[in-house]
Amino acid sequence: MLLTAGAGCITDADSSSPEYEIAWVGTPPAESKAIEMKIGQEVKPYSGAKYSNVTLSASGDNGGERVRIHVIAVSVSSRYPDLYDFTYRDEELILVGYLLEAIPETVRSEAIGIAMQNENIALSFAAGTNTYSTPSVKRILPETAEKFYEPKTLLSVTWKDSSLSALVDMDTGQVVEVWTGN
Amino acid sequence: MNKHIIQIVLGLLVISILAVPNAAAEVPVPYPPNPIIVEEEVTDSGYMDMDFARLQINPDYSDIQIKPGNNDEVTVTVTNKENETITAAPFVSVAPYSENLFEESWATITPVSADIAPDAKQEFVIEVNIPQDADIGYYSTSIAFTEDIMPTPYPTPYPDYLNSMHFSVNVWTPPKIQIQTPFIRDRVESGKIYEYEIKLENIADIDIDIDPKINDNNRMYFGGPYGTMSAAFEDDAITIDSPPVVKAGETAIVNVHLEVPDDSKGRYYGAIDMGIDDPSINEWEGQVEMNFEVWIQPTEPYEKSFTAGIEAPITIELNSKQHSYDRWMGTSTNAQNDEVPSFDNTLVNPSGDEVEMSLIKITYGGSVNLGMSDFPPWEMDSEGIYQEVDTSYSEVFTAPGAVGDWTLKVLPMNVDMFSYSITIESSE
Repeated sequence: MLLTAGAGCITDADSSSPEYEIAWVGTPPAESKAIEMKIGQEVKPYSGAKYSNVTLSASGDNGGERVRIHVIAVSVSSRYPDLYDFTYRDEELILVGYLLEAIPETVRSEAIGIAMQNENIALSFAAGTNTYSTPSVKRILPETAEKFYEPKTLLSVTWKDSSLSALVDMDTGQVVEVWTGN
Repeated sequence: MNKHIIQIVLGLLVISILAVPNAAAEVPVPYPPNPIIVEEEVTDSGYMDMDFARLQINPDYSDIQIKPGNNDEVTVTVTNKENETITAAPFVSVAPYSENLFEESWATITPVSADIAPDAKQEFVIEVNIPQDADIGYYSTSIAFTEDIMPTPYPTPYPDYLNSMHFSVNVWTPPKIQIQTPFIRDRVESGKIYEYEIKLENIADIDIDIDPKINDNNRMYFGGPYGTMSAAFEDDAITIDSPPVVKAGETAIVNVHLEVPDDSKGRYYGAIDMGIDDPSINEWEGQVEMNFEVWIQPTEPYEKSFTAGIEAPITIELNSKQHSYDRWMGTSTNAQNDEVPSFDNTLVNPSGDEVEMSLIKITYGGSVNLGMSDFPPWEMDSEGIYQEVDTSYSEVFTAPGAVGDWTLKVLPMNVDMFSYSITIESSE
């Protein structure tokens, strides 16, 4: 495990955290160690995948009242990263946004396949929607998913240019919601 | 305990009753003037009454990772939303649909029970101890805090507890073998041969057997673009040469040989199952994914004829644009692939001679979305995070002009699609 100046390392010291390298871009905030530990508990890769390294950057209020933490987590099994935005204030870390695309290629391909077999998606394509562009596949966390289906990890397959998206439950192989831009 | 109302769909029942007269259409039967209502089970508003305690459980979903022989704990806050005291006595409700069955004895919940006053909060600590001999994998279960069950109009194999949380445990160990080449992705040309290397490092102190082979499920999910079209080529275009073992502390190389058939077009998705004898590696981790696009690089230029009606300088602009998700990400194991787009141009004047063109401008462009609009509602949490939607590359050339018929020849390199504009403009 590498350790560099300004860099930390989340190891399995508590036996429940998976190993990956963690490093700060720029000057770490004063409470960087506490933040690293909390982020280590919050950011998790797609089931079956692992993060190889996690990069943190801090910005915002220098007075220490509130720090915004941007996290880029890279997995060896995907060409796309997972991005997380947190705020840290009074020892509390809050997830304020995420864009999670570090999904194994096999899963990505399977999710697209499931989405394309959905009747609503197929009808949209049959109506002339452009199918040639590659859709994005993003992981939707349970706290978001429960607003549309159940509190479990889902995948969103989206053809942005066509305003077309399918919310996919990989456990059942079903599309649970379809969005057509309306 | 208060009475609460749960909506039960009785539409099918009503529809089936209404359908009876139609089924007996041969005998004239007066059509019922009004829908039939099952009054003894339904309230005025069409809802079924039942009793249950209403608790707010936070978090209502937990996902933890533990190695065999280790433990971890989760603290859950339960809030009583009723106007009378409720006794919460949490217990493990094993979910039979989980990949692995969670053992009730692995979880210890304290306190065992608690009387929670109206609007009061009670913390419960769920400690999970994974035995040393537990199988690696995912375990899902529910933690119920009361015995209240969701009613169903038909028998179910297991109860659905109303005041419960979903609990997921990933039992894992670090893999003994690291696959240093987790995917092979390349743009290949038909009729050509490509060699790739997969590096495996054994970080354990024992030798580990491997047996790489093409995944049997390749055609199930990766039979082409998303399983909907045929693949660019069959699995037998790929051959694998591997040592049978990776020695302790050493690195082994698995050679992958690809002969792209002459008639190949499209894409190939697949995976190599590395056959690593290490139970800590799950199905995905033990694979090397392959993604090949059969690229047809044109060798002849695109030709466009045009007529210059005035003697004035000619300006030619060529532009290519790519969606971010279509872009080749440059992780190829073959170093000869240079993915930078470019144009090789020739301009022929009315006399049939090539005219020297001057490159006067290169532009790299792109569109970045902040997810504020035109995204599905379930991607709303990506708002405020930069997302590059597409990129573009353009070149602008000028050449001295003359009246007559001209020909522009463009040979695009690493470009899926391009647009052009030809401007003949006098500076006067």
